[in-house]
Amino acid sequence: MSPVEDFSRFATIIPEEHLPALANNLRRIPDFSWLLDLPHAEIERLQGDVLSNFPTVFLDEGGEPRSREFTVLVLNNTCDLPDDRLDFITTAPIVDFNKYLEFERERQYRDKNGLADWEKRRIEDRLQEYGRVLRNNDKTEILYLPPFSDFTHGALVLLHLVCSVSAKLYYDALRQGRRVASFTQTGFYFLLIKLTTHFARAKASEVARANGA
Amino acid sequence: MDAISTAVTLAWPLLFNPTQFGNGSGYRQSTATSVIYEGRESLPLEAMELEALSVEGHSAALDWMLLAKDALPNATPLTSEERSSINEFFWSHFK
Repeated sequence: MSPVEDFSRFATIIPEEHLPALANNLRRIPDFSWLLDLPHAEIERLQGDVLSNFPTVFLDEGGEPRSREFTVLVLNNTCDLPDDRLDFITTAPIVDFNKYLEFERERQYRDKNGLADWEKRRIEDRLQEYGRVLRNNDKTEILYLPPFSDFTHGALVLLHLVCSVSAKLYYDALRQGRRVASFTQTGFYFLLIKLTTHFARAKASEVARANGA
Repeated sequence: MDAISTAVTLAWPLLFNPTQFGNGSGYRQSTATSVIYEGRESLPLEAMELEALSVEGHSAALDWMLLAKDALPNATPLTSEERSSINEFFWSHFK
């Protein structure tokens, strides 16, 4: 039995009626077309919502703040998004999947003149494999999203580069209709799976902590 | 499903009132895991119910980690080379 075949044990954490759809969709990996949908029509604020042209800021290695607008994914729990529970919003930037692979291709060929055909083939094979691994969502820090909005070849959410921004800017983005996608119900479970894999996966046994009192 | 799980699952709709948290929108989107913790924080439960939720919350969190591991069995962190690459690409957006 494959690991994801027995879903009955997860009935305590996912409503039972959602289990078959989640099981089916997890079996469709690397097809992730089920992750995203148009912005939810009735509920304006949802964890995982994607916003375009959203301001972000990051500190560079010199401690200098670098600010720029990105398409972002909202990481806050839905329950923390109502007005009276939100002062800052935590977001992760999203970049274009194809542009990243092109960037990586150029990077691989940088300063490498006169490569033999077999060397070029090796680079291309490596790139193809790297792209496959990313599309499979097998890199813990990166969430691959299927094509949506302007990201016609998919997108990468950089979970290791989150930032906090005033909630006022979130409200502005909502008012200006800058939500571009919401997660589907089973897609949302996958988002939680991915966040768990990145932030809360089991440590290697050699990471031992003090036992405490 | 054991007795505690069944009880918590069945009792949940009766115990949880989403209007206690802001406008209550989107609660149907929460996982049972987060719902249990929120419920534990704010609901006037009897001691027995609190204990049941605590046990359930703990095992649910572990179950969730298990599910994550099962769903992505080959997940590994970026290598240092891959990290350099994606970070360089990220910073290239600021040029």
